[in-house]
Amino acid sequence: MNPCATVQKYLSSYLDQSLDPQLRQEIDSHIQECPECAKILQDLKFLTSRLKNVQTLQASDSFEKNLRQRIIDNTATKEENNPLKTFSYGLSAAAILVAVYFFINTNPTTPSDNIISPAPSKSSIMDARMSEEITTNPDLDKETNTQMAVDDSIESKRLTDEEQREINLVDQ
Amino acid sequence: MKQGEDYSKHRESADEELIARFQQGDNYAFDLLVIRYKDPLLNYVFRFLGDRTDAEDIVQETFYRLYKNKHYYKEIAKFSTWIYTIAGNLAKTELRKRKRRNLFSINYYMSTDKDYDLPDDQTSPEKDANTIITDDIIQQSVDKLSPKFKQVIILRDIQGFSYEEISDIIKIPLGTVKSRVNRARLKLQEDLKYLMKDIT
Ligand SMILES: [Zn+2]
Repeated sequence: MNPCATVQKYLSSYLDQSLDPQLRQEIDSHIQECPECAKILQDLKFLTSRLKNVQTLQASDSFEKNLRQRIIDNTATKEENNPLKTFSYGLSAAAILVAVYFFINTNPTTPSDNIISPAPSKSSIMDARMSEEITTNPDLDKETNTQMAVDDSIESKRLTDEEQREINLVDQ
Repeated sequence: MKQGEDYSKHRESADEELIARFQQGDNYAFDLLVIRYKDPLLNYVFRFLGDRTDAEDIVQETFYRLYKNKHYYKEIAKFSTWIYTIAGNLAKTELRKRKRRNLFSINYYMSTDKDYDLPDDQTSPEKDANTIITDDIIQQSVDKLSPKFKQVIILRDIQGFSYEEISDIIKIPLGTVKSRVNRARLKLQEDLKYLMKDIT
């Protein structure tokens, strides 16, 4: 390998100050004599500091709202496959799910797992892998979970508007 | 209950404490993790994909998976590396999808007529001050890297992770991370050197 290629292999470590002193010295002396490697090192210095300073984006204002909607929608998709989707309470499924979500947020001690994450969807590799890790309660089948969601949402309906606003932490 | 107090009490908590609380059913902890990580993850994924809308969607999906699969997290990993791994995998999947759809154009090399639209947020007075190597040029150059090089340079040089953390995030050996970062930097240098003639 020619000396320039060897030196260039170590330029990042040189920049990061993570080379042992002897190697560092060898690179120093090569750079003194080799304008090409010296130029590359200069460029790398410039580039790393330039990359550090690229403008950063901020998530949109509706980020949390959309996330919540995504969580609700994904739960709602499961509801559609369920015979229990007709409710006698005069509430739409979506409204109930919104209420369930808020209810969970106001009650940190509520065991929410059975309500919100009955089973992961089977749409991706990651889900399949993750589902192996998730232990589900054998006593609670999908229908039971749904019934629980309905029952809990009736509870959550009692929250006042003011409480609901407080729960919406991320918007404050 | 005074939620504001509760909220600020948690604000300084370590990530690992928050995820533990969330696993125990405390959904405030989830909110806090979202607040803490939405912007860093957005920037990570945005640099990966070059598209703000897609990036935000991927970050949403990342948090959704966290929400749904919270018990998958085990304390042996740092939360930050874990969530970055998920976001990175989703971003790479998105890149592969684009490639399949053949929508991923790499023919915008230094084009001045801007066939490649960056989001409006990029057009700020600050950016204009960077007259020679603009954020757009940086992004275009990063986009030309293959995903494996792109990923390490974003994590190391844009987001400031240590080599060890990167090794944890992308699950490759430390030595490989180092050489990959070096090669990625050299590729960028090669790509942009003619623009740096007068400034370095
Ligand atoms: Zn040389």
